[in-house]
Amino acid sequence: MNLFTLFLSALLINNVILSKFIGMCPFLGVSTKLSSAIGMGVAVIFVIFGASVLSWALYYYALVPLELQYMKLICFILLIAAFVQFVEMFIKKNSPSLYKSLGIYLPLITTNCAVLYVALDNVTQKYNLIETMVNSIAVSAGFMLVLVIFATIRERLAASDVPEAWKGNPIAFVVAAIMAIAFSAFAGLV
Amino acid sequence: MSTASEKKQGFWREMIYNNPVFGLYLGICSTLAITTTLNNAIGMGIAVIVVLTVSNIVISLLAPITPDEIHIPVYIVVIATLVTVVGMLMQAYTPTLYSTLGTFIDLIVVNCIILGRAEAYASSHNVAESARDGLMMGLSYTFSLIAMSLIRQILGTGLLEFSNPMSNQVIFSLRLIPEAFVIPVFTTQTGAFLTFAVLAAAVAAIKNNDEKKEAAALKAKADAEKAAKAAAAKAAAKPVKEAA
Amino acid sequence: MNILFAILIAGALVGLNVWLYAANKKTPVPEGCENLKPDCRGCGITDCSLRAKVENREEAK
Repeated sequence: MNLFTLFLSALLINNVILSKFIGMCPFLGVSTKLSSAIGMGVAVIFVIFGASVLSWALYYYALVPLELQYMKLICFILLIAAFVQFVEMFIKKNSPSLYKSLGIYLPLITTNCAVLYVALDNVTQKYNLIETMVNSIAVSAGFMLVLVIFATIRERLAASDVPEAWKGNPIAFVVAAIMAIAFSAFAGLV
Repeated sequence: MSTASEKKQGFWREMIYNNPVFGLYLGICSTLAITTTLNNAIGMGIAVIVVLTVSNIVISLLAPITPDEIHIPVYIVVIATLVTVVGMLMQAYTPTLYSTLGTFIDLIVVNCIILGRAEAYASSHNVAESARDGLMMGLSYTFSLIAMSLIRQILGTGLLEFSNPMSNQVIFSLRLIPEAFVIPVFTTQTGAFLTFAVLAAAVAAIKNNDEKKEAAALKAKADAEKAAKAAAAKAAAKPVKEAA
Repeated sequence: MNILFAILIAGALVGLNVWLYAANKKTPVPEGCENLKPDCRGCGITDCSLRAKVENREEAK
């Protein structure tokens, strides 16, 4: 597949949050402030990229030769958990300033469905290494894009007069519905 | 909070108050994605009930002998193994359902409900209690899925339909809304978000209403006590005055 | 034979997890980052370590 098409469709048309509904938990949790949304977004891009390249390698260099494909779920989730720990430790040691902006979001990412989803998707779609890299960057960039747009809307929403029962998450879902309509217009792009 | 929740410990109350989806916002990803038809909702619900109940049982057995440092990887292995088994069974016996649910079966591993219950409940309770908790949580999750899928399927396609997941034979099919009046947007992503928003707001409204009632009841009780105290004080003061 | 490899791989990954988890715990938090404030109260993941932090802080208040 054309790499550019792959990138665009993973970024906009099949956006993880608005079209596949993956990664909703951090989407609701961290999107109340713009600064946290950016921090979370960058951390997610980094972890998704690293974790999916590692899982790709594990799958094609260990599981396939040994015919252990059925182990992929167990192996990938363990690999992701280990990778997140490693990244957190590495940043703590080497870049305190980076830790200040990203560190707090790293533990949140292990239970982020988006990471596991991308790792599994790369394998089911039979992407090669380059396609895996492009796909994982595009998916996570799409995640960050929606997270940031959503955070700016929610900052305004906090000051508006919302009915009692709709305060907080329910009204956020209405906003997400409207954004999904906007994003569905990208469907004719490719 | 405690007075009313002790009064109404019924099944439905547990379904609404401790509802993991609309009350606590857990496991939203799959709720939004697979609730396009009743079949999907029931299939996913059963898969989650099985995984959640068995993982709660296994983890409550393992918890006392697991060192604290390794409990998270151990829980992850247990849950991922169960999900792999359930996925394989579904692939064998209900292949169409498995292919429509797709990755969402695998993503049960990272479903916040399961690891959350393992950590918060099963690790500190005995086997029977953990099994009951898993079953109840799974049931209220399934209940939420069914509620959402009914709304979306009926408004979006006008049909109420259920088919046998093993053979794909239609068991019943009922047209509730004429084809010219259906609202197809409910089968799309937008419809999923909107339905969820309405149901979540409804649960919040029920909770708010109950809290208000409780607050009013507490206030009335406090007022009555105050009045009684004042009356008692008056009564006590009177004889003193009379004596003076 | 394959089962052996399967157990070996899973065991190795669990070992890796445990080792990294312990090493991460041992690594001190850099200066100035001890009291980072997560802003995640909209989130429902109850087993998250951050959540415990947020809740503790709120109780302390």
